[in-house]
This record gives sequence, C-alpha cells and structure tokens, in this order.
Amino acid sequence: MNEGTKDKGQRTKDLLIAIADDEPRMRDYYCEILPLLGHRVAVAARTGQELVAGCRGNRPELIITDIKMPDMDGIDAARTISRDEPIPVILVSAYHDPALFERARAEHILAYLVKPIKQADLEAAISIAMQRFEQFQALRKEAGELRQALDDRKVIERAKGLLMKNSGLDEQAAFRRLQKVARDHNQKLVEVAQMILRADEAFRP
Amino acid sequence: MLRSTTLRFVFAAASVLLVFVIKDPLDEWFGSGPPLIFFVPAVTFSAWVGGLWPGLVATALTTILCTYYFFPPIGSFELHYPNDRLRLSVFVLDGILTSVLMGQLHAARRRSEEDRLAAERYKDTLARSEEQLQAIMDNSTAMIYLKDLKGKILVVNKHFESVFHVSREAIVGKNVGDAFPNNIAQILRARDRSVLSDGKSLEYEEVVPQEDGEHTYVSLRFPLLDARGTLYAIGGISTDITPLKDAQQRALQAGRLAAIGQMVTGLAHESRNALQRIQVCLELLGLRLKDRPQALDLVHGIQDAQDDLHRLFEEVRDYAAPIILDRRTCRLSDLLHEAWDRLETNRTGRDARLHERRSTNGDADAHADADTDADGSCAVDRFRMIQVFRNILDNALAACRDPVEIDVDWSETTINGAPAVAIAIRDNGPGFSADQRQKLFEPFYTTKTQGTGLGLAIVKRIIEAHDGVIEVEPDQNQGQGQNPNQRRGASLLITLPRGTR
Repeated sequence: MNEGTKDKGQRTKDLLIAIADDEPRMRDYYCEILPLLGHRVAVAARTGQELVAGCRGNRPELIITDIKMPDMDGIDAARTISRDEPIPVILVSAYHDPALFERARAEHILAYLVKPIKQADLEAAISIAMQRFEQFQALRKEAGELRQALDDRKVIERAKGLLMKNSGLDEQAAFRRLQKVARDHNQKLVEVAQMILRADEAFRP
Repeated sequence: MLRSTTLRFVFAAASVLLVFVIKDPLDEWFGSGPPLIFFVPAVTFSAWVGGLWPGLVATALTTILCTYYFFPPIGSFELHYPNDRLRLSVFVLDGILTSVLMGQLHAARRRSEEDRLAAERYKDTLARSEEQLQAIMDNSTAMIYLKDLKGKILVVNKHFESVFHVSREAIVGKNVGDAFPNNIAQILRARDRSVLSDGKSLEYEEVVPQEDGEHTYVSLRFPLLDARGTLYAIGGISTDITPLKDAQQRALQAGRLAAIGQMVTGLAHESRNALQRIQVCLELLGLRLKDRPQALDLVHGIQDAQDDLHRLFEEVRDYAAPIILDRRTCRLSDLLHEAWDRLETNRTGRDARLHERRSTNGDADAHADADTDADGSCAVDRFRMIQVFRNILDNALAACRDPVEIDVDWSETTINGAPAVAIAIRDNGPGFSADQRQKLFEPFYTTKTQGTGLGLAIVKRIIEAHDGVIEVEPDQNQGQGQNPNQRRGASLLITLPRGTR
C-alpha cells in the first residue's frame, strides 16, 4: 500500500478533506486523526446542508460523511456536491442496510464503512478510494479524448474530400498536402482542416 | 313345502281329483267302502303341503264331489241317509281340524325359518362390524390395546405390534408383565389405578423409549363397562406426536430466533454508534497517553475487549438476523478457494494445505472424472457461501496441528429428488467427540478459547436457507481398518441443491 502511494506521488497524501457527522465526537476524531494520516480537514460539517455549503467555498479533494444526519443525508449531499465536478466520497454509517448500499452504488460512492471504524479502516479506505477515483478520472479523460479524436477525424476527412474535389488530388496526396500546410504554419491538422472548410464556405457561390 | 300360493291350491285340488279318479280301481281292490276314507289322505296331504286354506279347499272339494257323486241320491247335492250326513259332518270337522293344525305347524315353521335367517344376518353384521373395527384399529397410526383387570392382554392393533415388535398371537392372552420388559410394562400399566378408581377415561402425555430414541405419545386410558355397568377391562390409545413435538420445537426456535433477530436489528444502529463512540475515545485517549506505556497498556486492553464485543455483536446479528439470499449461479469450488484465500492471515506461519477431489456417485476415486460438474455451478448466495466455507475451514485450522491437511470431496447427488452437490470437508485434526457431534450446530457451543460458538450455527442456518443439509459425516474410522493412521479428523457433509438455473 505504502509503495503504491509513493508511486502515485502525492495522490493519497495531504488531501483536502471535507467531513460530516452529527456526532461531535466523530468530528473531533476526524479532525485529530486525519491530520495524523497526513491530510487536512477543510470542512467539518454537522449536517448535510452544512457540508454542501462548506464545499462550495473551498473545494475538497475527498468527502467523508455519515449517512443519517439532520436536514439532508450524506448520500444526497454527496450527489449535490458532485453535480458540477465528480469528487470521491466515503460513507461511514451505523446502518448496514442493502437499500442504502443500493443508493450508494448509484452515486459516486467509492467506499462504504460500517461503524465502528478505526484509524486503520479509514487509512485503507482513503487510499483505495483515491486510487479508484484516480482510475475513474483517467478513464473519463481517456473517453473524452477519444471522443475528441473521433470528432477531429470527421473534420479532417471532410477537408480531405474537399481538397480531392477542387485540386484533383488522390486521397494520399490530399492528406499529405494537409499535413504539409499544418507543418509549414505550425498548426494542428484539425485546425488546418477547419480553415479549409470555412474558406470553402466563404467561396461558395 | 311349496312357496307359491297358487301352486298350493292347485296341488290341493289335484290331490282330491286324483283320488276321485283312482277311486274306482281302489274300490275293486279294497272292496267298496265308505267313499270319504280315500279322501282323508288327500286332505291331510294338501294341508301338510299347503297349510290351512289349501286344506280347507281340499275338504270342501271332497265334500262337494262325494255329496254329488257318491252319496245317494247320486247326481244331486241332497243326502238320503242321515248316516251319510253324520259321516260327512265328521269328515268336514276332521278336515277343518287337520287344516287348522297344519296351518299352525306351517306358521311355526315359517317363524323358525325367519328366526334362523335373522340370526344368520345378525352373524354377518357382527362379523362385518368386527372386521370394520379391526380395520379401523389396524389402520390407525395410534397404538391401541385392551387388557382385562388382571393385566391380561385382550386386543392389540397392528401399530402396537410394529412398535414393540411382537405379534398379536404371541401376546394376546398373556399378562403385560410377562409379555414385556419392565419399563414397557410399567408404561402399559400407567394410570390404571386412576382409571380403576374413578371409572373415567384419562388423557395424558408420556415418553416411550424406542430403538430410534424417545418418542412422545398422547395417551388415552379408558374403562370398558359391561351391560350391568361393571368395569371389566381397560383400553389404551396412544398417538405418537413426536414429529409434531419436533415441529413445534422448531417453530418455537424459529420464532425465538425471529424475535431475537428483530431485536438485534433494532439494536444494531444504536449499538454501532455507541461502539463507535468508545472507539473514538479510545483512539484519542491512546494519542494523549502516547508517552505513558503503562496507561497505554490499559488502553490496548480496553481496545481488545471492545473488539471482542464488536465481533460478538456482529456474529449474533449475523446469526439471528433474517437471511435474505441473493442467489446467483456460481462455481462452488471458486467460493471455497476465495474463503481459503481470505483466511490467509490465519494461515501465515502455518503448514496448511487444501486438497480437492471430484467423485462420481460417491466413489472416492481421486481425480476420477474431469468432466463431472460436481464442484460446479450452483445457484447460491455467493457471500453467504463464502462465509460457510470460511467458518468451516477456520474451525479446521483452529482444531488441527500442523501439518494441516483439509480434503474437500465433491460429488453429485440428489436432495428431495432435485439434483444436488454433496461436499464433504474433512480435516486431520482430533475429530469430534460424542458431545461435539451432538451439539456442534447449537448456538454458543464452542470448544475454542476465543470464539462465540456461532460459527457453525450460522453455517447451518445459511445451508438450511439454501434448502440444503449439513451434518457430521458418520464415523469414517470404523470399518476402514487397513490404515488406522490415515484419517481421524472431523468431517462435515453438506448437501446443497443446485437450485433454479
């Protein structure tokens, strides 16, 4: 585990964490134990709404929350906070209830701990949750890039088709010319392709 | 005796006419005598055969015929001689008398015939009713018997015979004390005094030792009274309610468990919060006392106790909470290995091995048939079945000394007619004592120094929730004499239906 955290650099150390529990002793516990594990507590909320409000000001990197709390429960709070940007969430609850597991599964919940928890449980859960979240983010990024690449490819194909039609070039020659223009002007292939399409629009009778 | 009335009258007329016809030849033979004499047998015979009225008809016919044909003046109904009138009168009187007497004889015979038929019918009815009674008794699943006041057995039914392995020929007529060993005789004599003194029937429960263990009976003792109201025998009807009792016991147990389950589930939340508070305080206290080793030692002591309490609490909850299965088709062998892997911390530093064998039809032929699906797919709750294997393997590890050899034998079988997997898990530890065999699956029974005694109780609950069976495998040592050192360990046999596919 330790090696893993080292390999991943600072990912599971020195995290900015928001915690929520209606039990004062639990908040004291988090505030004392989490710094020992090398993290900072950014928000210590008593209720779900306090948690949501606290996270608005300073964006934490991890949320550790109880489920049953006055005014808004932890799962709802986590959903509200994650709406704009996903954030890893660890639930800590005295309830061991399949219905709650089901709800938790639907959200960005990366760990579900049943009370009573110890420092060691917390340490392991944070480490695993952060790694999972990292993988999750990486997958998201990859998916986004793939989507972008697919979109770019469409533009380039259209520009290539236009070149073939107007200059009588074959496919390979058209693509080579596109590459050359991009190189000469120090631009991306897709940018050149977009310019060609736009120019074609302007020249159209 | 003629049955038909018409025939009787025809017979009467015919006998008279016959005599009338043969009278002339008879006259020649006997010499002419008073004509009526020849007709007397005909009248008597008619009355004998036909009774009162045919007799009278014969008499009348004779009177008419004789008056007309034989008494002067012949050819008319008048009588010339007073002498003839006397003869005729005597004849008529005699005829009437004979007819009446014969009629009475007839009536008497008819009555006796009817009596005989009635007696026969009665006998049939009696025999049938006895057969019916015997059929009721023999088909009854209760033990039924009658004995006289001296204890002589009068009647027993089939069930009685089968329970005590006696034939009715062998014991009917014998005294209870002579026919049965003391303890059984005592049971058969039970409450006799009370029935004798009160003259009333009595119902009660009793326990009867049988070869397959003790059975509970609901017994009825009742007096039999004769027509004058004198008690002459005592009857007994005993119904075996052992299965009912067992079911009742199980229902009670299940009810109790459900109640505990509900309570524990209700307690769970608050208890976990309380345990969490203790945990929080303990850890923070530990931080405050970092440089005071003696005080820290006490904190660790509390932490251990807290851990034990937590574990006990979770196990009780696990045992008592209602089991809701999430059945999916899994390979049981995979679950076994997963359980084994999870016990890695228990195995560190130990020499323990898990072997698997697949048998077909129970033939312990090692690696017999690679195609068999004995360890294969089964619709089970994955998490629960891992728990089952884990608890059993954990027990084996705790009970055995190194090197630990655990053998798991997979075979195919059926349970209640449905295809099933039989899993025999054997270790090389000290095995089960007689006491352990009996109490193995009882909650809170443990031989470990650290254990709640719920492990196998939970296993049993889970297996039964899957409609399966878990039992201690019958002793393997007996009759396996060729290598006494080979196998001595504990052995559990699980039979699990494959479930819906």
